[in-house]
Amino acid sequence: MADFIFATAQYDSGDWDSAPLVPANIIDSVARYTSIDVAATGVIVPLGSRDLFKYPLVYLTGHLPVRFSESERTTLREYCARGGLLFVDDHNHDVDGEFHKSATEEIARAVGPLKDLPNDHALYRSFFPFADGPPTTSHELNGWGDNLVHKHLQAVLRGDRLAVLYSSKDYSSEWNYHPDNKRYFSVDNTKFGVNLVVYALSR
Amino acid sequence: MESGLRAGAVLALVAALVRLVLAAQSGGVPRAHVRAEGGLAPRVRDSISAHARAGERVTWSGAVNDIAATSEPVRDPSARTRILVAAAGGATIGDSLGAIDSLGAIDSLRAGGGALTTAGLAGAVRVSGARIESRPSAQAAIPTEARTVSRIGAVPARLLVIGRIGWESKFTIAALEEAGWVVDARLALTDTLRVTQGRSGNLSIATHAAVVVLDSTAASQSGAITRFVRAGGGLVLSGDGAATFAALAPGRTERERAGDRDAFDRNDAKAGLPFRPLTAVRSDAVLLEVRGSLTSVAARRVAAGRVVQSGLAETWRWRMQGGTNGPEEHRAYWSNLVATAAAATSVSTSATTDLDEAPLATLVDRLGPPIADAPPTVPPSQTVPAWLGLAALSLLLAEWASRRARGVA
Repeated sequence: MADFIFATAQYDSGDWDSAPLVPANIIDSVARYTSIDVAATGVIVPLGSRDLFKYPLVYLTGHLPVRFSESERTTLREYCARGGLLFVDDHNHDVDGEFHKSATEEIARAVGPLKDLPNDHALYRSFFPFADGPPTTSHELNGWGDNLVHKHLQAVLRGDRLAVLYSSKDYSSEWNYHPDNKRYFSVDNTKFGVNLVVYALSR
Repeated sequence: MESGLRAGAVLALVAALVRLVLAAQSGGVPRAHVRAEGGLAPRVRDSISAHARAGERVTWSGAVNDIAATSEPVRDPSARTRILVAAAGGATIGDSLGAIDSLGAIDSLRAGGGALTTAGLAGAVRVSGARIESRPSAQAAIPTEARTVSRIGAVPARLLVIGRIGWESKFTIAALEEAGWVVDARLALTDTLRVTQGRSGNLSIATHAAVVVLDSTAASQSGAITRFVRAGGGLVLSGDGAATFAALAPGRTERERAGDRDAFDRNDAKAGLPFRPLTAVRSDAVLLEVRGSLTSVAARRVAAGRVVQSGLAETWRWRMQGGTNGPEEHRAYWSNLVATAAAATSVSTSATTDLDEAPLATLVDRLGPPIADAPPTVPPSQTVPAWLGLAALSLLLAEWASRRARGVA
């Protein structure tokens, strides 16, 4: 079995599969830049199932309002307490949007309140250096969504470890393309995804 | 008549002499007997045993619990002490401040013995045996108390973890940090890149208690690690890391076998983990854990250091997929492995007086087994009755008076 399998969380409400190309793109980048033994394809794991515990890093996204079931809430709470890391990205890139409002509420209820993650956090130097914190996405810059450039990611910490990492930057749109198309970019915009995987595997 | 009186006196003296000889042949007359209800204070016991070793006959009786206790520091930053107790009739544990508030631990000792790990002990550990119903004539039985104190170990606070980046290294580091260790880490990300955490200086037993090797990526540091172990450092070998340190490892590891996947559903995560059995275990190694007929953990000394080798793999699944106590069990597993190997300097303690780790065993060693319940009395057959002496004296006086009456000198 590979050392790392990219897992996407499937939840009962909303549109959990709104960015289907993100897993393949991040898997491609991890394989391209590191020697991590990464599985060639990702998996989809129900948020309320015990299978969630097989994947200590799980990605969750969507556009629509999120309401976790009691089972999802309980499982997520235990998952984070044991050391799992949930990466949530707002596919709307809109702090006034329904996904942001409902998802942050649910995270606070299940795990704890989100706080700004300092831009000098180890996450930003775990592989590629991001001196200014989280990389900006084209979706922030082109005026879509809330027309804001979000200066920080947010997080719930367990001690000094990340339990939940929350992004309003819309990496789900930014990374949602076929990996073969990376050749058309002057700078690979998925590099921060590698940082996330390396950080999750080492800290 | 005078001949008869003389003969009677001689007979009386012979009878007295025979009784004395018989008494001497039967071991002599006891000179000291000690009632030791509940045991004797070590100083009193040593004083009496000095008399016995000087040739005086000393006996003892009384109800003394067959308990024993010893303690040792746990080699981790928690400053805990492990107390090991044997107590057939149950026991309670306390320190100089009173009973240790751990009913669960005390209950477990009722089965005949056990171990308790605790922190914050004050002074000597006192283990009291249960009351023994003594003889009806005796006073109320006094519970025996065993006293022990652990040497204080100075343990360096740092560990070094070396391995490949992945869930196993991540969660091993997490478990050890949660147990109180400061962890330096060197995790291989590519052939040339390492993710490092903490200090990157040289290994030294002054700063590091042990090195944890999770796989073969430590090969480039094998020389420094070998010197560290020979100087007294600890080494924990897991996964395929043992192959790199074959000269130090307690054994070789076979190829990995799959764990029992159903074990996770049975709340027995440890049995569900993949496993590399240890083979060709060296004769100087100690087996610490077996799975069925196969060795899973072994340890050995190498010069001044200690090496522990574990065959369990993917232990992170224990923490993530194990039962309710999975994270605690995973943490305890790694803590114990490291504590078994960790370097520590033993420091003598001043609280070493008046200790008695095995009161009954020591008493029997010094004074022999106890005698019967009844207090010993001096047997009449082993003394010279006064009437025999009086009779001999009277007969001699009568014979002397008869001779004087006849005017014979």
